[in-house]
Amino acid sequence: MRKNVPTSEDIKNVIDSEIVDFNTSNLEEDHRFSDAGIDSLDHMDILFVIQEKYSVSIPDDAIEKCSSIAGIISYIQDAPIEE
Amino acid sequence: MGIAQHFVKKKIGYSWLTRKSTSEETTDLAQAAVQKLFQKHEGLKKDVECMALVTQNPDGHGLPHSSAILHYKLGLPQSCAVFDISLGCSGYVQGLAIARAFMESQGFRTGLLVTSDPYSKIIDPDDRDTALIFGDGATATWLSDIPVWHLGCTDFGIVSAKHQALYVENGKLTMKGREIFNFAAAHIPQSIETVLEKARLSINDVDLFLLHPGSRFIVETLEKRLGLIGKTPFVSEEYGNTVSSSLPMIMADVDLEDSDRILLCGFGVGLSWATCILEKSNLHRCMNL
Repeated sequence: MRKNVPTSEDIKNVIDSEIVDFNTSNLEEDHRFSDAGIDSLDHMDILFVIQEKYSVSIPDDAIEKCSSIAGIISYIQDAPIEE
Repeated sequence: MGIAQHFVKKKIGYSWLTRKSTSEETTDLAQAAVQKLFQKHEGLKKDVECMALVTQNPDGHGLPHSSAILHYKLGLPQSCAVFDISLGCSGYVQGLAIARAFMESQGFRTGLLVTSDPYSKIIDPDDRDTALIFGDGATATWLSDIPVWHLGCTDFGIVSAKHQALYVENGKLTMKGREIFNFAAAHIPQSIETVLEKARLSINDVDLFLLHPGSRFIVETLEKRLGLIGKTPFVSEEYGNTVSSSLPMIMADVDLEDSDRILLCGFGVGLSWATCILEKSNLHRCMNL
């Protein structure tokens, strides 16, 4: 089974759809969400959508790694495929 | 607690949280709620044939059942059947279904569904995950064979593998907020769609969707996912998440005069959910005209 890894644009689309009053045009790949003004609840929501969309499990101890666009992409690349 | 005020207001949603006094018991809150109902509708007291109390924070150690203590405090008839229901945030909807089935099977015409679950008994005031969310409250709902609201289609469920996302250990409540959010975002839209499908209704056929106010963020997330914009009132800002009392408190605070059909969805402890349609009786629709 081939793994579906999101692009930077894919993740920006998720953020755009989940956070109404946030502009992703200036969000760099390695920019930490918290530094960019994304709070912990919106971060949780983004990770929920990513998990559903890419059939991947992001446990609590991986939240720190998944705190930027680059971090999420890297995590999904390395994560095992969920059945 | 080091949390910005605008975050608390905008995302958590509560500016005030109600707290019982340390000397008050669970049944004291429940008693006050029932007495308020009796004062408003004189003559009900002698007719109560059964009473269910939804709580997971009973008086003392839970023996005797708190509904027995409440029965005594209210001076209800000896022939009145009373029992506790141990459920959390899904307790009101499940309580309605349980009480209605009990009444129908026994041929009872009248009953009371009471909710009283003061979480201040188990909250660590220094725990930022729980101390800013839960409020104390109690409600009393009159159940009758000639109801104002008819219980319609329902949907119940539980993801019991996640029961430790909200539990009490050494007398203190522990909550894993992310697990509860993921649970709600994954299962509640499906439950609401299931009820609508069972009832052969669309979102447009339902006037209001009363969702358990776990937080403003959860309610807004569900509202967005289901496309319910403007149909999910969040009115608990000044008392907090009162667990099984949340939904009946919303019903009391929202003007339902022009609503003929509403949906209630409670979810949380378990992690469980309970969703139902309430339909205003034709008699009361006419009275509202």
